[in-house]
Amino acid sequence: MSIITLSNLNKIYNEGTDIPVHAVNNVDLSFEAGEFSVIKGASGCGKTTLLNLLGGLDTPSSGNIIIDGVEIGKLSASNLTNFRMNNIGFVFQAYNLIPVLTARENVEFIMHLQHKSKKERKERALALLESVGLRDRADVRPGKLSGGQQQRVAVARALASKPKFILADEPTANLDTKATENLLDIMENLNKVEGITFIFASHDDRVIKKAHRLIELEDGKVIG
Amino acid sequence: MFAVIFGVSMRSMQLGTYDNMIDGAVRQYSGFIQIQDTSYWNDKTIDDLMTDSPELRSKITEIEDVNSVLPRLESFALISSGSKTKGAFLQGIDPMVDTQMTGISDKVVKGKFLEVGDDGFIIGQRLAAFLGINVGDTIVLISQGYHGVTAANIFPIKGIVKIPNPALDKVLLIGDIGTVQEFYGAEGMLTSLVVNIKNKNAIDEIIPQINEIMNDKSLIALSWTDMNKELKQQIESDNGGGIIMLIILYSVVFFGILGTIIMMTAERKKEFAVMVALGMQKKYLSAIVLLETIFLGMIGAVVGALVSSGIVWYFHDSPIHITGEMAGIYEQFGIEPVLMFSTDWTIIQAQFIVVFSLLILAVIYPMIKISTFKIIESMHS
Repeated sequence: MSIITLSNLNKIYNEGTDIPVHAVNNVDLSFEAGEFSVIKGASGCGKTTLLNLLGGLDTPSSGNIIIDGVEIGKLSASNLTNFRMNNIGFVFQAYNLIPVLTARENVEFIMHLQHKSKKERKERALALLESVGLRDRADVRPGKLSGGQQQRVAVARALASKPKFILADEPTANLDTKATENLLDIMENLNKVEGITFIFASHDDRVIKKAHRLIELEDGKVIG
Repeated sequence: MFAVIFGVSMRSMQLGTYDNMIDGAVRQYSGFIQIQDTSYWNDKTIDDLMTDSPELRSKITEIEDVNSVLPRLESFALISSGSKTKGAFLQGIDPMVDTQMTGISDKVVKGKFLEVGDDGFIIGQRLAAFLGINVGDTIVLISQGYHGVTAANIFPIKGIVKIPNPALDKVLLIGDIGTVQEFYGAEGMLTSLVVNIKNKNAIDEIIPQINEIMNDKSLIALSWTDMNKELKQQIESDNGGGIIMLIILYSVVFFGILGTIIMMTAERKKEFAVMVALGMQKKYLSAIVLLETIFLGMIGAVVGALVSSGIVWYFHDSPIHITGEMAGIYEQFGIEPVLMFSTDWTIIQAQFIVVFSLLILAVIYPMIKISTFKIIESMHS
């Protein structure tokens, strides 16, 4: 059963001007639970825009996004924020960890928002850091972690809220080969063992090779 | 922090200096309330005296907020010693009661203070220096007495006092009221009754009570502002300048705070966007930023208040003495050339509240920014 359905989705920048940009163009897609999908395409083809729409971080110009039976376009800003918190995990290209918090506190952040108990937060955060191989770096701030380590903390953070799926936008773009392989192995393992759904936007061949499903975008349109 | 320090120091110095001016001109001389013959205030001649009434003094003393009532007989006389002569301001006082209000006995720098019934005088330090006289020397006084009587006599100098108000110090001669009354031929007569009050803010309540007790249209109760209109205007005018300076300071402070907050918001825009993307409600983020800014502002304001308290207390105990030409200018205006600092805690409280209010005003900016920012744009900023 599809957990995400996109129908006739459009995102047009500079709408109403002489030079509108069709970043996402009549996209119809669906994603099944447990998928390890990669949206690939050249730079500027609309991968990130599509992922942002999927994550409820941006609003489409037209079309529908239905996640687990909920049409997110109809949610209020406040409800959409709560929906994101409880259903979607994000891994950004630039890691986007909160610099003043330690690795564990970064992972605990969403659980704070979910009003989890201190004990539960701590136990889950440490377990997630363990699963990405950073248990011993739990009390270190992001500034003292390497890029690969920061991105692994970001993965742990994305998993913290027990989301239905994780959106990863170019997660390996700033990582070297070893860190990339390490990160992808962790994600692949989480997908296989725990059945976590991953949707990547990437043009990195190392990511594409791992994909169970490839979606190719060109000028905002799905071409394959 | 610095805003509170500057604001408190500036205002404390200004109000402290005003208090010192009022203290010099009012508490140490005229008192905050005087009772006079109605015609004396306009002409100030020795002929328009009031009769001393112990009964009236006693009744006025019973008013709440009144400490004591001081009889005074004041007029002018020529003072001479050797070949030098000068116009002097002769003040007849009850030495025992007067010094409780003016503290004049503490200002004696040479010789002794007066005793009741003393036949000598104490003299201002500058006047003594002008005449070249010292304790034990004699002076000649000549003046017009009550109702045309000639007033002339020789008196010994019992002591020299240093009066903070330079203009007064150059002319002041103080004697026991009985001696001065005898000199002017005005036994049992006074130019005024000075009402020594406990609280200068209670003047408006005390005066109607005095008028009710006197019930005499030939007498009038005057407040210090009625008697020192020029001083009051001078303070009001200078205070206006001070308030303009404070407004300029507050403007600089406000834009300083606003600039810091704008910078802080811009620097953390991405961080805010990530938090909202992960699921934090904008209203909670706004509340956190508000509390954070208030907390930081509170620390700054409290530290500022503590530091400025130290500065104010230090300069209150060790006031800044103005020297050189500037001191001369102050003295020309009859003001003691000293910058006093007021320790009135409401100054610190007011500056704290103003700076804190400016902070609250400035924090509106990030509140608006947070409520209107778009996640994607902010994350890419």
